[in-house]
Amino acid sequence: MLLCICFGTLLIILSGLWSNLVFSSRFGSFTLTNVLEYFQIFILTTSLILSYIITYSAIEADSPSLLIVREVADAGPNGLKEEKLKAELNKDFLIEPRLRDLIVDKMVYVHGDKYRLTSKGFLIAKIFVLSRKLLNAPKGG
Amino acid sequence: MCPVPIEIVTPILGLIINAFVHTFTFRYMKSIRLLKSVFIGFGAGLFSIVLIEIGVWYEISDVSKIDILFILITNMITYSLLGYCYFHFINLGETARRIRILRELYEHKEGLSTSEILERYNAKEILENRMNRLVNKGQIYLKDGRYYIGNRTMLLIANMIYILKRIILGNRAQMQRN
Repeated sequence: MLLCICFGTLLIILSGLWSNLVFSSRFGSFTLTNVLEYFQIFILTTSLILSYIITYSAIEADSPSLLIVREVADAGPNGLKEEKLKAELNKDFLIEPRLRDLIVDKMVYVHGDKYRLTSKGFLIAKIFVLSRKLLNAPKGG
Repeated sequence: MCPVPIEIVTPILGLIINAFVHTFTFRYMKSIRLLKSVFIGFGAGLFSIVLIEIGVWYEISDVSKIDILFILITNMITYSLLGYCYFHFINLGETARRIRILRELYEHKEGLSTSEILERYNAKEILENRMNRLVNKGQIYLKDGRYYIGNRTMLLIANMIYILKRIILGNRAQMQRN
């Protein structure tokens, strides 16, 4: 949904730029400079929208690291016991909502009692597998 | 303002240089850690953008300094945004639970049940990875079996994210535990 809104906005901006370009060409003020300037605006707008999307996704899902820091801070000057922290951040909270997100985003589907990748999920997984391979980095997570 | 073609693609060139330098430094310079290599890559990309703009200034004499300055500022903003996206992409691969689950499923084409996923990637591992990172970076410290806040940077970020969450998501911003 968010992607639709953001790319919809980008399309509106682009169609505005395009109509301005067509208008300029009709009245003889169309030059290569127009095209270059519009392309620069296009790259800037796309970067802004991509940044917003990526920030939104970071805000939407709770980061376990930030939650740990908040839990420790909330414990105050007496500190927080490790056992209590583990009990607070249990497996239901850490894994299952993320699995549900993957199903909602159509990256994973349920087949019997198993979770499997859709073609979209496969493509995204492959991009990350390749990037981690390029970096020679472990699985992460 | 009339940018020349090379100036239009400068932010993208900067991003390519950023990715290349980051990959090279992280892969081949073992003493450099991930975050540091991301910053080195970002700096290299930014430096290349300034170099290209200086080159254009020398090559095309009829372009005004003000034009060059504004194009440079626009390109630096665009490049910073692209660099920010790249940083998040790298960070997703490093820390995101969703990506890790996708990777586990990618390696098992026949699929995995919830318990099989939890065998491979579970709350214990998630917590241990994060606790180690936070302790190593001095964000929290362990004393007599209890954790305390060390460096307050991460706490500041956590509070900022929480405020942003309240602004953007409104009532849905309650810490979603289910």
